[in-house]
Amino acid sequence: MNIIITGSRTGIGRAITEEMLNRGHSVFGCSRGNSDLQHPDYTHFELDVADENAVKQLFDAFKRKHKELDVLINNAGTASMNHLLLTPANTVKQIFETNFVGTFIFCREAGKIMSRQNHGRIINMSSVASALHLPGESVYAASKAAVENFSVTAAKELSSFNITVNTIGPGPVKTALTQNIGDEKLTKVAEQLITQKRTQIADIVNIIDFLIDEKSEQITGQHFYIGGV
Amino acid sequence: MIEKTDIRKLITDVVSETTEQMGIDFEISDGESPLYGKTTPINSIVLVNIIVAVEDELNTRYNKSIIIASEKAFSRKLSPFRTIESLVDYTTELMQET
Repeated sequence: MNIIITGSRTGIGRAITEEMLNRGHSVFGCSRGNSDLQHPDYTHFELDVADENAVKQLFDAFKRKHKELDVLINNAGTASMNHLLLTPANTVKQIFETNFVGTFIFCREAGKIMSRQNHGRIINMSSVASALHLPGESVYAASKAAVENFSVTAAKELSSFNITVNTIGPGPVKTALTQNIGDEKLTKVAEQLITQKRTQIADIVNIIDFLIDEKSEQITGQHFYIGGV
Repeated sequence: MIEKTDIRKLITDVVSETTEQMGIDFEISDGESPLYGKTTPINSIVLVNIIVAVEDELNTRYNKSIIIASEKAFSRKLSPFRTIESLVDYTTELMQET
């Protein structure tokens, strides 16, 4: 399969990218910085996911290399854990630019390719923070709620092209995004989940495998919260 | 320099191919034939397919990346999607700006 994964340099995105490459898929990845990931089937782009022109250039390069785009995984995300009374408006704009606008632009450009080939799978990464309404994460959670709401409507609009759109909301995972959150806090978040466990990369990959499986063509417009909310 | 006649041919071909592929009975008699509106069988989904295909063809042939369905297009008093010729004019304008 040919897959595009955003935010592929570090954290969950890096781990997913490596898993997909190990499965023999071809991956186009991107992040704001350069990647040290070396693999014959991996192409990296340095860009801001909310930069429309840069994203279009990535898709142009993708089309020159591949005829079809099978899967898009919108993973790039940023967070700022803070009380709302202490959150500058610029922080809100930056979080929404990366988490929502970036997701939107990639969905639109991928949708253009997928609609012509009449198939495709889009997976947008959300978070349990959206459903749990965690104090201190109001803006991050709101941006992920926007991604979830958008994904359901996108699923409806793209359904006639045989494109599915779903979201995966991982529980707490120790990554660069959560590096400033202490272990105790991550454990407290995990305790609010049904399973009361932290999310492992394998849990995320398991759902991705399910969603990109040929047999999952009817699975669309759904939110998959790992650990249960 | 990309000629308007080339863009007209490209758009006409794309409209014919797309409507045929989607099983839409749509005949292009001349450039002023209505493209998208109440009097044509081209609904919003067909129009989306046409726009995506035109953008893709322009990119393939001329290595130029344009977005046809933009704020600029939707804010015009006269829609660029009303006839083949209006779409040709609008697309030519975008290609020349790029």
